Amino acid sequence: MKNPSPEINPTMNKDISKVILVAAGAVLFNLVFWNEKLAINTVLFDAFLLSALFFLYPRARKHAIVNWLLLGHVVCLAMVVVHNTGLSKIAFTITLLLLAGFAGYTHRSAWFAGGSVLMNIVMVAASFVEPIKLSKGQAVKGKGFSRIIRFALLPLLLVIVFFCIYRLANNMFSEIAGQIELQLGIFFSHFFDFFSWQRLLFLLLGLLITGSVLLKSKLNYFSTREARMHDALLRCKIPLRKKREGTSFRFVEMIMGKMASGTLALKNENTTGIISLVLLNVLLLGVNLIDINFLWLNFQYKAGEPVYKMVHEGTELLIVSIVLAMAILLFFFKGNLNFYKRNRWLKYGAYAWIAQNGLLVCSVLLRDYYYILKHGLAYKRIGVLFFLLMVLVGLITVFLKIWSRKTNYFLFRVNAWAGITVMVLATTIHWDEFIAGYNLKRKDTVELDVPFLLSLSDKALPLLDTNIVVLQNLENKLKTDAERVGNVYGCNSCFTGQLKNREAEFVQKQKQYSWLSWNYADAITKRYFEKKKTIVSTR
Amino acid sequence: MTTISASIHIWVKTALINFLLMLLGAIVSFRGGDVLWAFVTLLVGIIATIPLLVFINPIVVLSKRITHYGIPARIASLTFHLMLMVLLFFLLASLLSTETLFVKNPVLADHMACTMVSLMISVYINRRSLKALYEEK
Repeated sequence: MKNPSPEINPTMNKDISKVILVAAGAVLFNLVFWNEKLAINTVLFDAFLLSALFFLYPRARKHAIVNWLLLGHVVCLAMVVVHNTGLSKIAFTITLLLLAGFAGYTHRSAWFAGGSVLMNIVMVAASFVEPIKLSKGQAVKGKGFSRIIRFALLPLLLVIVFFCIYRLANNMFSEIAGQIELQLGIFFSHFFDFFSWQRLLFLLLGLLITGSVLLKSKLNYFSTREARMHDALLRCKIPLRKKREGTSFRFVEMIMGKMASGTLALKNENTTGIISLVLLNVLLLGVNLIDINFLWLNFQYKAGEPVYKMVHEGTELLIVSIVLAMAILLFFFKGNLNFYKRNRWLKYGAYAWIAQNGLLVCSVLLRDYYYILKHGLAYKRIGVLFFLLMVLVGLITVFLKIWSRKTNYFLFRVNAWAGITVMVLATTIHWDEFIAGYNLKRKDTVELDVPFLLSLSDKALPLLDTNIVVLQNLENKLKTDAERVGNVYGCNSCFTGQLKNREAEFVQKQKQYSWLSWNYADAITKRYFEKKKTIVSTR
Repeated sequence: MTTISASIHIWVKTALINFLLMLLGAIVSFRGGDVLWAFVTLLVGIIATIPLLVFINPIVVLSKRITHYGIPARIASLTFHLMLMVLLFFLLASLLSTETLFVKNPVLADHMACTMVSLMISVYINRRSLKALYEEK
């Protein structure tokens, strides 16, 4: 009699393809990244991942968000190959994970998509095993295996005990057993040379990464939650009992007492808001007037006082104050106060507060500018610039939120997209090279921090090498200063020596990599040193 | 079966299987020192890993809560997270002993691999009680 073949439905096919694709991805990850750095190999792995992702979730390509994110991701990928900076690698990873979140689920906000990806990561093992349906025949096999273990346990123990007794009693037997043990040892050492534990763990890491991108978790917690979110703020009447469950209301009630819950609660809240914003505006106006006078119009570096004390120290606190200001506005405009008829003055106060904070952003920017002018560029100083840009975007969106009655969901969603855009754009510049170039170009006006320059990535090495005379002069100056004071000159400032060491390290590191680690930044640096070597040898 | 008893079962059985595997290795390689080492590992291992129950129990609870998945998938998830915990435990041990975050010490790496194998066997042995735990409402 003919055996009826089980029907293969498309879902089952897709499930099997998922498992095969994840396994293939893990193997590919192991082949292209083992003992290599993220470079051209990333293109191979990413091409596989993206093809698999859009094969599994074909509808994703129809969404504009996915296409924009894909564009950003491709830019980051290109920058990994071109600049090979840490930032480009981080941005590449973030955009890839977000792309997986947006392709697999229905999202509009990067925060919720990130949450879904996190769920994918946590549930990766379950999602990988779930499609593998064991048939009944296999289940019986499993039982048989357990039976074999139970049957074999006692005989095995007996064999081990008698093996030990015979080994102790018989020299010849012991010798033969020793030989077998030696051969087994050699076999396993060769086996583990090729397939080490580290490599096995690396394979598992590949499985985890590929699985997190391709396997959608069955828990749709974040997409379900986001489906309930809206951009436009809706007026809603919340019963007092329910209101009391919220932390913010309890906080307000603690301060205002009965005034927070009566029939005039909204009016009281409005009055408190107006008073708070008026006072805060007056205070900030004072700070801004001082800044305009001393920083904008009459700024001078004070002799004897370090610039960082004058300029840099207050920056962090000012940034905190701006973020806190946004939080205060979000607190006041979180609910029905947005719809209160007499909230006009509260809104004016908020707009003035936003404008004044914008002015404060400009003051912080000026502080950072003066610092850069004196000491040149550095990571933190550039970081402050990006942070200020994000704060500015934040202030604009807070204004929009109040002006057009938008929700906090809208605010965080728009700011996340702004953050992603800034991050992707920031990857297009090789910051280390830029910093080295900027500082060395202004060597006569900027105080050069040579140890910092020497700590920059390999791409900056050719630039430093072409300016070796500057480094040599600084080294000689330090040497003369030390001798004049009577100190023994140590080699903490052997800048040229340190540079030569970095070059040697770079050449040594390059020898360890294969073509899989090729990237434009390293290739340029390598070519520079090869050319230099040829010039030196022909001389 | 409660989650805490399932956690204790997995933990104790892993420690015992780990000890048995090490003892087996010591007997086959015929080294008296290794036998002693296996006993030391059992004693110290059980005492040192008691705090891990604080992490094992939430992992078992999590695997019980993911009702959207089938039982094999939940067991796989449990094994994966427990293996991750073992890896982190050995990474921490490696960091404290050799000040490197990756297991470059071959003895520690072998011990970690042995523990992971023991863990997998332990979960396999406990599969019926886990199934009963997952089927409880």
